[in-house]
Amino acid sequence: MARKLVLVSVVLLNFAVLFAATAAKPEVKTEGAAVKNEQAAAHSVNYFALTVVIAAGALGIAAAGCGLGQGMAVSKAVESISRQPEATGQIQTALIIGLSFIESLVIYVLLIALILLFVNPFMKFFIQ
Amino acid sequence: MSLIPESIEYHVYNISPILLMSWIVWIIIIGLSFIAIYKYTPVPKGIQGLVEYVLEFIYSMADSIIGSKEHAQPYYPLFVGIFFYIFTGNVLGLIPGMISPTSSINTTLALAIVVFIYYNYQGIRKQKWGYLKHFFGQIDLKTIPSAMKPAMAIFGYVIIPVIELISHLARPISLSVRLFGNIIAKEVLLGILAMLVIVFLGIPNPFIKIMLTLAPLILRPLIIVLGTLVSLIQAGVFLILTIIYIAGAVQMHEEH
Repeated sequence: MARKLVLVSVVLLNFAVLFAATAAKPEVKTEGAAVKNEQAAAHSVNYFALTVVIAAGALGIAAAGCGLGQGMAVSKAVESISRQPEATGQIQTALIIGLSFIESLVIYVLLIALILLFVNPFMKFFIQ
Repeated sequence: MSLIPESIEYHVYNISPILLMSWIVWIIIIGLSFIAIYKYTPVPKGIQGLVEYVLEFIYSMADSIIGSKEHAQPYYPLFVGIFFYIFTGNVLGLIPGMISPTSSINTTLALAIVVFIYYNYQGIRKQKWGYLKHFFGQIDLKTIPSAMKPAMAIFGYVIIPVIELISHLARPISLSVRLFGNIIAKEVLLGILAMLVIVFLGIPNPFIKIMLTLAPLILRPLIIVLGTLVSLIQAGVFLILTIIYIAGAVQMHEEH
């Protein structure tokens, strides 16, 4: 189980690194204003592309973790309802509260992804 | 909203749309209250019955978590106000053309800060200086072997307050971000689906146009139904967390 998680995260990390590495690299020339602008443009495209990939990837990982957690919670809840049907009301209430706690962790990741995509704090370094 | 441009934008002099929606929520809540008590009958029916049902639900939840009815009664107005405001605010965004006031971090942070200040104030008011005992854990130094006393004292009086302080400070943040994130995800989804319908209607090929337009068009009512469920659950979770925080601050520790 842990091995699978480690493998998946290593694969994702490799994808991100490969993507960044295969992006167009500006050639090394003598420093002139036009060349600096080209390099800045290439770096900024690099940065924004990488940001988008990371935002979506982070959400994917968060959703996977949340799915596992909520699945375990629901399975235990249904099991205990089947054991003691007269406690169904309390179990349902506790289940809904617990599910919303697990989901709020994914909402935190969604918040960071929205910030990265729409109001990127480092945008001012790339827009002249 | 800066994140997604609404196709219908309100420009009422200089009032922001979110503030306008917040006023509309209050008008709805006040209107509902007046309609409910207009013809008060001891055996409730109609809108009065619905409002009383919701009130009974909130009261019974508060009673069961705080402990007893006399302890819970002073705090009923806050619970009722929070639940009605959040639920009506969330559902208002499902109407096409309206924005939920809770879809702005300003509103949700304000609600969370109100709850934070309120439960701390009630705890201090009820227990005066004993309220600080909450931050020190429950370590009884007499029952610990004297060789470990210095370590346990440091653990109890230095480390535990830091942990408790961080967890107390995380409460308003998590309350506000949970509500804000859920509602803004629903709003962004609805807004993008609406925009897709408009974009797809501009495709010249009639067959593909019909096929592609049907997808967001059918998806919007389904997301609205899901959004109602999420709005109710988020309002309920905010309410239950408020009750739990107040219960934690107000209850005396009788286990010593």
